[in-house]
Amino acid sequence: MSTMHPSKTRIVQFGAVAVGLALAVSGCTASTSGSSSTDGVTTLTVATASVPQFDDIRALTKQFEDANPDIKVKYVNLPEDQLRDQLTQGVATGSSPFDVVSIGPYEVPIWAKNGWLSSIDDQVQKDTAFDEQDIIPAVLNGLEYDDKLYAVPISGESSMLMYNKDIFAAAGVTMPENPTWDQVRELAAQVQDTSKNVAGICLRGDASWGASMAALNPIINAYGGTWYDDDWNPQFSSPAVKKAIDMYLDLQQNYGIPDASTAGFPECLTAFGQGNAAMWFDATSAGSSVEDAATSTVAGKVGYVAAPVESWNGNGWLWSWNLAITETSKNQDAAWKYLAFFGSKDYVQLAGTELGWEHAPAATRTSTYGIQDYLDAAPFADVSLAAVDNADPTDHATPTPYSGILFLSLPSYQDFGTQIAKHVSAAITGAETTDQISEAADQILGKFAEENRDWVDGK
Amino acid sequence: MMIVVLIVTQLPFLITVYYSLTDWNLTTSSDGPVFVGFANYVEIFSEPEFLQAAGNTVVMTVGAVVVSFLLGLGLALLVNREFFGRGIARTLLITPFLVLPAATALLWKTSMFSASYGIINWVLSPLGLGPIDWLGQFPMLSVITILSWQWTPFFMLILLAGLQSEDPSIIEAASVDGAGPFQRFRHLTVPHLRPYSELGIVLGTIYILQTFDAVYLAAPGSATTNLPYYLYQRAFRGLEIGQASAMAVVVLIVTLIIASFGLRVASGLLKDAEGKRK
Amino acid sequence: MTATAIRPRSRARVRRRGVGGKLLTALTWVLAVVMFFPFFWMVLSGFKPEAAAVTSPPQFFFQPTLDQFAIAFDNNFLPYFINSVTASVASVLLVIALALPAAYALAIRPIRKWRDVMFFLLTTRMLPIAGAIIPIYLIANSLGILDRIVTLVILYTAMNLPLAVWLIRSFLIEIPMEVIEASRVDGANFFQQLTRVILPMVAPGLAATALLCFIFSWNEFFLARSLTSVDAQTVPLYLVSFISTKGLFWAKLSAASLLATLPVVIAGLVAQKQLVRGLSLGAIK
Repeated sequence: MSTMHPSKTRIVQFGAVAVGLALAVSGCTASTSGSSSTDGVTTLTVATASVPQFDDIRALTKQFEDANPDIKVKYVNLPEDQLRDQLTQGVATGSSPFDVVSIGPYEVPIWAKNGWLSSIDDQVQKDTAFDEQDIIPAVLNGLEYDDKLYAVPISGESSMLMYNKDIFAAAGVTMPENPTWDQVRELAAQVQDTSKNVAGICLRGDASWGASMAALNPIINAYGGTWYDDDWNPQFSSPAVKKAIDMYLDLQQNYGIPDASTAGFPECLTAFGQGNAAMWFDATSAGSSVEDAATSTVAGKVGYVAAPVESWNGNGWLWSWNLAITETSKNQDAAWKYLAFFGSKDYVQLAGTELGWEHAPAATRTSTYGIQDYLDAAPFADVSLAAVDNADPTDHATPTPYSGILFLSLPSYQDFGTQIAKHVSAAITGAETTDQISEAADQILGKFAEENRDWVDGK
Repeated sequence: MMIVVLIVTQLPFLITVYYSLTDWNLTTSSDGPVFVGFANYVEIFSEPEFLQAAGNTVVMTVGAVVVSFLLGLGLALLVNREFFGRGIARTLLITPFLVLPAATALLWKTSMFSASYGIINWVLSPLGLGPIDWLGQFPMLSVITILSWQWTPFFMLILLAGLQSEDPSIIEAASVDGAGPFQRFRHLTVPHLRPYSELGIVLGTIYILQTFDAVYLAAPGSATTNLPYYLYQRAFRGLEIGQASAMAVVVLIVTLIIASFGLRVASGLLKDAEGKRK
Repeated sequence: MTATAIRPRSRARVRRRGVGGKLLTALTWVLAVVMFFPFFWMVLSGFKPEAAAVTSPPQFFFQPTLDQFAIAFDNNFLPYFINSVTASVASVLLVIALALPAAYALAIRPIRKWRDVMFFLLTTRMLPIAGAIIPIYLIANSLGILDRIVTLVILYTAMNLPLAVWLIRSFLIEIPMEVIEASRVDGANFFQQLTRVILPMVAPGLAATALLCFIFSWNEFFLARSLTSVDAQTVPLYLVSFISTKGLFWAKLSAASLLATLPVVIAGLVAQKQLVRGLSLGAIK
């Protein structure tokens, strides 16, 4: 029977030819799509987070390309946490295809220390129009490492409490100027109306360090809690932290939106913007989205007050979105032109006039707060500027070996922060208790203590 | 040919084994992998998260396979009848399998499960059920629902193929002999469908075991973190290459053990085929 | 019992079966509509203005708009689409080209321990890809083929090969030996045997196999997520770029989902009969 069948080599030959053909087909298309420069035009590959500030930048990139005809910009746009995953794996393995990346103050010092970013000190010194002095110091400090600047801010933020004035008026209650978390809870109980699908307050609760931990961390700060004590002992079982977790869970479980445990910034924006939440504690940058009548039904009806406090009067939130140049980029000059364009005072004007003044980059430059058009369009401007000015990542209720208030400035934070965030998220649904969170978090923190100490000590 | 397959599938495995014996964190260890022996393995088994992810994977896979199989069987039986608009009904039923899984995950998360704006809560609201936070309170059930929606048509297709290859004259003969519909189903259709069921279960298990989109995009909490997502997190978020590699090795070994169950089923199929050929 | 007593009973049974049949038909339709509804909702949402897509209660009636499709398409859809087409089609061609001779060898000229080979092929498919992603990533990085379509083609091929070999083998053993023998006697060489005799006979099966492999490649998310970043990104990743913090995005995302899903839905619905036939061969042989 076997004599009538083709030889093995024939089969292999046939297969080999087919493989060659198919690979050639796919190889062709792959090779045509290389980036970099052709015909004297440089293509900049920019990774941006799906946050409103970068939507604005993308919308105005045409103006940048018109001003720099030899540069084309290609964007990759991803949700914040996915962008972070992708960027880190790229730069860590030296395979990043990006010239410019959008990053936060969490990444800047860590990436700079690892040699993944190009310092922009020289360019900033030479470029007088850039006016480094104008940048708000609290924001600028977060972008330095070893006294060198590594990124240009395009928006700064701290936290604030937003409330729906209509709902408050209907319930006959008023918001104090500087509320405490206890007062917030009382107000939440008074304004909540489940029959009308109105929750008392929206807080981020999704299981990642950028979501539930971003909401919980300021509360921990407010109660005077810390993650580690000065000797790297985990502190999640301390009375202060437990009180903070209790408050957070109480708010989420009893006065939060129905899907609190999966809520991030977008979910809260939808709930608050559609009138389904009476209060929202989040980044000051939320103001521009809330006041955008195209997607928000509460524009013009929102009150803004400082972030709630408790025993410790710290604000506890400092974040910025920034542009930085990767060390591996072959287009350093073009990349700087891009940073200089979108980080400039002129861009503040451009965004204000082209997109509406509530779109102007917030809390990056002092000069922005001298523009009357901006102050008129942004009722949240005063609160957010004051909040950003007051935020100091090195200041805690008790001394800590790490820096950071919204996040911990440690490379492993995105890892252990998210591990703990998962327990917090689970607790919102009632699957865990405060004690269980504390216990689990202390265990996680203990495991990372050594690594974190080594990092801070510079090993 | 086999050599190509061997290289593509086994070389990564060997490299994984090597990395699993090293301590290598991409953010903190600047001088590459350092050999640490079995330390990573010891650590893994002291980690509740890993074991939980393994448990979640089993629950998710078994749950989705069982639900999809039962629903698929029911639908296949229903669609196998002659009735008005049968072609259209079958088309409607097949569609979920063809939707991009990433789109499926986002679709269910955003417009089906959403507590405030979701269709499910809206449908249930006349029953007096308050807004239910499906993804938050019942994450595993939600993910299994998404997966079942996606995979039921696949099982239906395979089982329908089985039903349509059934010899009608045998059924008729049985019915003439006085066998009721349940007896015919039990004694004729069920044995006939066995190889089809096994094919569906083996293939379905293989693919559902690898579920990533539905977890990553719709329900990334700890209650639904399965092994593919957990490994992704360890490798690409924690950047713990050594530890993630050790987990990968353990996962591969455990999967092999679990898979041997599936393989026994498959081997049954192959034996049948061989028997038939002779 | 007399005949008159039986007749009404049997007529009643017929009627009951008729009612039962109608009930079953109704049940089938209800289930079909329920299963189809989420997809229908996605289509509907794609035609909504953003503010109408996220409401409580959900809106069924609204002023339809094509704006979201325009936005979705303008947001650089084509490069992703072309990447997906290239990666899926190339890998399907490759899979068939590799699987056909392998399956042929296994089916028509059983090698020793062929069953072990089949086991091996299936086993490799059961290992979670996540377990091998780190070395794959590092190898691709050192070869400089990260973010290249060719990387996806190779991996999708490896991913689909076992399934294809298995299915195609079961189609091939359907072919009566005598047919091949006859062509051999007529002096046909291997290539002629393959193209003139075997291919036409297994064409429907190959089509079903190719369709399944196409669906799995087109839908693949994990490898594309892990191994591409800019130039080789595929359609599933394009979708994710629509999740935005800038307020409402569900209508845009629905429109984009529809664009991304359409090729597979069309291919699948057109070929559903072949799929049933192909699978029915795959199970028993």
